[in-house]
Amino acid sequence: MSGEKKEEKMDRRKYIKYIGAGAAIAAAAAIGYGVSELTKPPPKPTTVVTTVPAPTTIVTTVPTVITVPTPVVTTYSTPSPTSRRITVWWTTMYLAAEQLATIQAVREFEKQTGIGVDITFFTEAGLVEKVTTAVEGKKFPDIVLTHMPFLAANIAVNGLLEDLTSFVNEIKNDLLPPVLEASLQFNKVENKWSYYAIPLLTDAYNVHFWKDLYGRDSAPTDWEEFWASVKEAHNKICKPKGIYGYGLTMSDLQTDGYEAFHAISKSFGFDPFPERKLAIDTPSNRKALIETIEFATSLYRQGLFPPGVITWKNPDNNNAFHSRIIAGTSNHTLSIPAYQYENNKDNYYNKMFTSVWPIGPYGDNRVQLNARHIFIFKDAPNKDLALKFLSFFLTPENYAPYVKGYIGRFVPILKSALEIDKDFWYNPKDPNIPVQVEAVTKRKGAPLLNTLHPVWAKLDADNIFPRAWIKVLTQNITPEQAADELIAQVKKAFEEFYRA
Amino acid sequence: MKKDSVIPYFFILPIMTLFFLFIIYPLFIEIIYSFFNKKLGLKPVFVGFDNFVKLTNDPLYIHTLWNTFVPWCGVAVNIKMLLALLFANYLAETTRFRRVIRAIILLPWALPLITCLSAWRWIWDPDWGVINRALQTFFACPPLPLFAEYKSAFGLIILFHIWKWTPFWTLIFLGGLQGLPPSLYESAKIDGAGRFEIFKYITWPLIKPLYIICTLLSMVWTLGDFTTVWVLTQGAPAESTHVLATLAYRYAFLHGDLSTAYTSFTIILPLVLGMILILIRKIEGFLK
Repeated sequence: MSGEKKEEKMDRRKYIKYIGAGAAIAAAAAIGYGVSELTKPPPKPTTVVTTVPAPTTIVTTVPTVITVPTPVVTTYSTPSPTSRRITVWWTTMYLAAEQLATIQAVREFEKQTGIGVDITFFTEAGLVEKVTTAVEGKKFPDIVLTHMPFLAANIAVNGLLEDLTSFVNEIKNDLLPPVLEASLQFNKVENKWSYYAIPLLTDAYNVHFWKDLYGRDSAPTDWEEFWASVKEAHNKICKPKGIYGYGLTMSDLQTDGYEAFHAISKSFGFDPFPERKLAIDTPSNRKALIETIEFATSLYRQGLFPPGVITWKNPDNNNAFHSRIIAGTSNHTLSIPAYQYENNKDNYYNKMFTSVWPIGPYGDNRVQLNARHIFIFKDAPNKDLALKFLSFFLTPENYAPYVKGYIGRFVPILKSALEIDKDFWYNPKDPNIPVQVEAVTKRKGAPLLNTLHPVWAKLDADNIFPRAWIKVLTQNITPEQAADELIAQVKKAFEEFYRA
Repeated sequence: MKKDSVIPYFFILPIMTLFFLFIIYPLFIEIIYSFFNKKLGLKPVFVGFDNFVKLTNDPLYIHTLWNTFVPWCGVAVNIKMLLALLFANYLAETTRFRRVIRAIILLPWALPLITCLSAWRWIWDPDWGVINRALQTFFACPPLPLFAEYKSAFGLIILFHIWKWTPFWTLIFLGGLQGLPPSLYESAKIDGAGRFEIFKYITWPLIKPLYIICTLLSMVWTLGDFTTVWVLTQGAPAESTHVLATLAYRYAFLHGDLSTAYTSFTIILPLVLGMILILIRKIEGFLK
């Protein structure tokens, strides 16, 4: 017995010995490899592209949406050991072509300037989290592009952003006027308004229709006629098929809901912030709010919209449109046509069209514009290079191909960029892109409120406006009560902001 | 002698360093900043108890506390634990198809969380969700936007939580039940005890300490669950379905108001610490 045990013990020792020897060899090899890597001469600049799976939406013709992971470029850098480098954080775009356009522009910048760029793409919410932690950790990136309007406002208000006024002045004459308005941010620390962020891209609130489901090839711009045509399409074509005339996002989730609310309220003449001073409790604004609430809730109750619009997230109206369960929808940017352009050119050119948002019932022809801000941190480690990067991007010959690369989803902020690619932006055969360009350039552009003041940004981050619709629909409060509640909330938020 | 007393501390030094860095330090910062006004990127300004007063007077915060402790950590956790115990009892007894049934019951736990949450939203979607479609087809029910109303939205959150996490606790209880001495059951059966009597007089007294420990543990975990509520509702409709984790996220990342985010958790810290102390005592008692 004891002999067996002894033998077993020796075996175990042997085993451990072998394992130890193996581990020592592996460690020596790893150290050797590490040393050889460290002593290697620096590599020639080559592009490094890291891919990670990110969700992309695939839409089938039946009302079913499938999300599958497809590789999307997340981090891109060109190691250039001799030159200085900048860190760029960018918002992940809706289509793969959009990221490629950004990477191409970055590559061009590196080629022309010799400055290395470490660019990382984040989701909208991911960027907000990353920037928040970076600010608190004082590890600033050099330049940031965000699609969340409240982010620039939240940071600018605390005096953390570089004043870009001198840069804006250089290109002022070439900028579309509403863009300038959306660039002006409030710095509470220094108590001043200044150009702390520049909208790199802009877009209008557009309307899209399937020609066959809408029964028309174009939409009226008159308010009453427009909605009468939607009702007609709903009753005559859509309802018998079990689908809906229009998809208006009315939820208090994400951004589409408040964008819809603001677009409709503008149409009813809601103007609560003239010359950047709060005037929400005027009788005309209260009336406009009540009408906005009444208008959408009554269409919802009539069954013109799918019942789920009060819980829709941002992609849901896109999905409903592509799945053809709605005849039309309204949306910021041309993400809906751009998707069709990438997937079905026949749909894009022949079966759908884009229209400008109708002129309000009292003749208010303002069209709502969004701004996708680019900004530089005051304490960025390479501020000078970041300014160079910005200046490169906004040089018309560099900027024009970059925006064009988005397949027309956004409109350039520079008039000259529109001129450079005139055939693309004003192509008479294109039923979508020229419509948005016309809306941005010809109509009276009104930036979203959240680009104009940090309090509006906070209120939209909280989604208080579409909540009025939901309360009326689910809690049976009157539009008047909902409007008064909104007015009180806005006034309180402004009071708190200036009191603190 | 002296050397002997120093060496053990040397061995626990790495874990203690990590413990201080990732547990004690953040906790300390959270408590300290609760007494300051800390806005994003700005220097903190001492404000005493202002943040506490502000939050405890905020109806949204009070409502969120209610959501967190009553329907979320109270109702959802307790229903889940009760179901887990029932399933565990069933699985401990069943002999036929035991493995298949176990695999099926454990399946929700094994599936990735985000995928399940997205699917859950789609299932209940009034426009293309399978449940609404079935209700429409078979019962001519109008589509129900259940995520648009507080009670139904929170009900769906609770339902998801129960569906997703019951299997895990079933597994734990099953392990506990299988560790109980079979002789007790055999004697009880010989004495003519029925299923209910066996559960009441044998299973429950023996499994009770484990049940209480698991319930407390689950409450602590659920308290910090951000993902479920955020993916399903983001606190909507009308910020009525927020739990503390999502509300704190809203303050920190959407408003850039870090001190309010910290304070929202500091307020409940005594309660959470109390729960954890009870948990530790119970575990110690259980191990004895």
